[in-house]
Amino acid sequence: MKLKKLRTLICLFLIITTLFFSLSGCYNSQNIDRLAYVVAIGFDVGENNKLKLSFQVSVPSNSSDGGSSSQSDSSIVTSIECSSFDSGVNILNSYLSKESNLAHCKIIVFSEDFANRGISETLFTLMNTIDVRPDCNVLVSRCSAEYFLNNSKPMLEKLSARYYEIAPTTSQYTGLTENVTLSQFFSDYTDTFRSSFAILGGINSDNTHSANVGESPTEIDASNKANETLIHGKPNIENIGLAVFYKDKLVGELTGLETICHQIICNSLDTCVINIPSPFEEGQTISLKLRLVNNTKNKVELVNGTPYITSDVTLDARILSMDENSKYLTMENVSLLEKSANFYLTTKLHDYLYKVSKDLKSDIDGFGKYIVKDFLTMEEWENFNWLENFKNSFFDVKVETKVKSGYIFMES
Amino acid sequence: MNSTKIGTFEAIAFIVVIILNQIVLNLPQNLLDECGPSTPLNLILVIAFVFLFLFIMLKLWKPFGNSDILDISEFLGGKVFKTIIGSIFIIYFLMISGTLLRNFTEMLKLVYLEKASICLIVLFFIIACAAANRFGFRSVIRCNLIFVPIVLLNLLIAFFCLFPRFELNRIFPIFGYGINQTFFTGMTNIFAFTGISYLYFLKPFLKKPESFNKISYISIGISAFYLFLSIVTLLFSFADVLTVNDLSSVYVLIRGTDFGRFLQRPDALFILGWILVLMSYISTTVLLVNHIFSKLAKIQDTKPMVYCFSTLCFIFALIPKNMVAIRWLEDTLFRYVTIILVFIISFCILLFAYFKHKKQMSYVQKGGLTSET
Repeated sequence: MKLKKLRTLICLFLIITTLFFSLSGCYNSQNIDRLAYVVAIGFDVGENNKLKLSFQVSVPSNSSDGGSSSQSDSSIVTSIECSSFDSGVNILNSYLSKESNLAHCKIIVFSEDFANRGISETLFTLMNTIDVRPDCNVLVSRCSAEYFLNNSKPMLEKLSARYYEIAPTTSQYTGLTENVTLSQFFSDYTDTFRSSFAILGGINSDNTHSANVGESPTEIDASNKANETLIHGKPNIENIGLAVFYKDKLVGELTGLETICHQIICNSLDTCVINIPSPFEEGQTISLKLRLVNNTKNKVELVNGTPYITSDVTLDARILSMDENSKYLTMENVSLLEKSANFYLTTKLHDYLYKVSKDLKSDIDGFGKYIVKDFLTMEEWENFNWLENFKNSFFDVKVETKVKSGYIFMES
Repeated sequence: MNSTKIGTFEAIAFIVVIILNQIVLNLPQNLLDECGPSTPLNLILVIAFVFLFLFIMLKLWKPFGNSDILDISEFLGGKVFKTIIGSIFIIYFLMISGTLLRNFTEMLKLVYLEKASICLIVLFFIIACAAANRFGFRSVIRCNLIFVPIVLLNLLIAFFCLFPRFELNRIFPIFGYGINQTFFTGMTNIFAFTGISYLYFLKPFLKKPESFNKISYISIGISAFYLFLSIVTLLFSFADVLTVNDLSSVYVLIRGTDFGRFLQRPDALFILGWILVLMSYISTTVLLVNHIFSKLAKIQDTKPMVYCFSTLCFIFALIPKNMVAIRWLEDTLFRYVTIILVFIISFCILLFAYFKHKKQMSYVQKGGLTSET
């Protein structure tokens, strides 16, 4: 009987102790009130020092606003001149009087100037930071990173973090850029058979619009890079094109159309819209919605020690353009359209491949993986030095476009 | 008596728990460091060798019925020899589990518990281990049987989710760092199959000793499958695995995995599973060490010894000064100690004991024949 009483007492004591601890506040622990959530980090070359770091910090909304405490209506951007990333974070903590938390950082922005000087040290530091998630995006900004973060005001989204998360996914239906994460960028950087690339971004305003919008009508829409397209509205983020790296240095940029070509070669294209010259009417264009039917078949051979690269591309096309007298879907016209599309895409793919090979000397398509099997050991492969040899490559591209149909109108 | 006997599934989980913990920590990275892109090829050879070893080992074991390696040592070299072998195994098990525990707690500290003392985190596992062993043999074995399938599934999901990122060409150049590394020096990768050392003590625990062969093949087969899967996933998913030595490659891999918009950061879930399976592993090891000691010292009530061995495990976990020391212990010292103890010394004991037994039998048969004539 006594033992039973003792047991009850112990149980009661345990329950009360548990309640006591669980219901009381934890004043010295890490909690949401003591943390500052960084949603974006920018890297610029500092004026006096080595590095200028910009942090976009989410400002939590009041509980009376009705939103969840993790959401924010606005954000602040703080820039710090410092010698290294970690010392910058330390200074930020001191300035904000809160501990900065990088676990919700969605995007890492490098300015062109910073990326030109090499980002190896920064890259390894970021990958070494537990807080920084490997799935955040890597972007090279055509303006300074600080300006980029200061002007990134989402128009259709309340949360900056969510906006940064959604923005790169537009590549799924535009093909004008690619969703590049930190882990992918780092993996490509350390790879022996490909080079790395990042999203190309900028702040589009009237001042940044390209003076050279392309000579032919087909060039108007897709031949621009980020911040060059003729959009009139409030200055805002625009992600078009890719930033190409050789080792850890930025070596060049790709336009929207070149990015589509890159995705066709790498089999990462979902769907995209391009304009091809109309075979029926001179000076006119026809819009096609493209999709890869099969994976592009790439082959690399060594001819007298020089890489000879062939690519067989098969695409599905659906006609988007229609006017009063469109009779595209006759056997003859379809054939003409296919020929025109094949010719246009072959030229563009050739131009793209020679640009990355001869001008940028950077294998962002990973052609090295098709030739690595010819080498038996890592020593042989490293001695061959594919990334250095890629600039000697010559290309042969075959495109087969199959025009399937229009959309609602078959002809008019 | 039946309270200290285990069934087939429990026995398989008893062996598989070891490889699971090693995979979660840095075993796949260690193997990749040795052979580079040719690690899958090397591992196929290693697995073939391990199965051949297992086949011969089980053949040599046949005449000894329900005995474990201690009984066989006694048969071969007497009580002193048995005590020496038993003591070596006790130190080996405690050191390996202690270092593994320290490695995992270091990871846990860096990822989640930066401000906590390493001593406290280790103690958390040790208390769980002592409590489980105090509850008795069955509780340790049953917990193990629950946790192992959970983590097996947990790893399988992680590897499966990374499948879209696979770049099969990363297996080239096929001979990696060289033919010598792939086929000769790389054979030291057999140290990955530490699980065999537990097999040496398993037989007396079995409810059905006749299924020992089946249990051995299945448990080592599962271990081999998971090790191969982890190597292939690491190698094919990211290029940096060959250039950067991570805290835990599998953890880094899971951090980079996207499970859709509804489950964006599932790494905490995985770590929870790994904590449970590590607790299970430490408890199992202390249970085994306790069993070995009781057999050496002929102690009836082994429960008080649980605290002693848990404390020893705690001390071994705190010995390494830093991660460099932990890595040296795991990559270099244990690699060769495992090969020498598990694959050479124990095998020699079995082999010589087999010949001794054969000689005795032929002597008995001859004696029998003489007496008959």
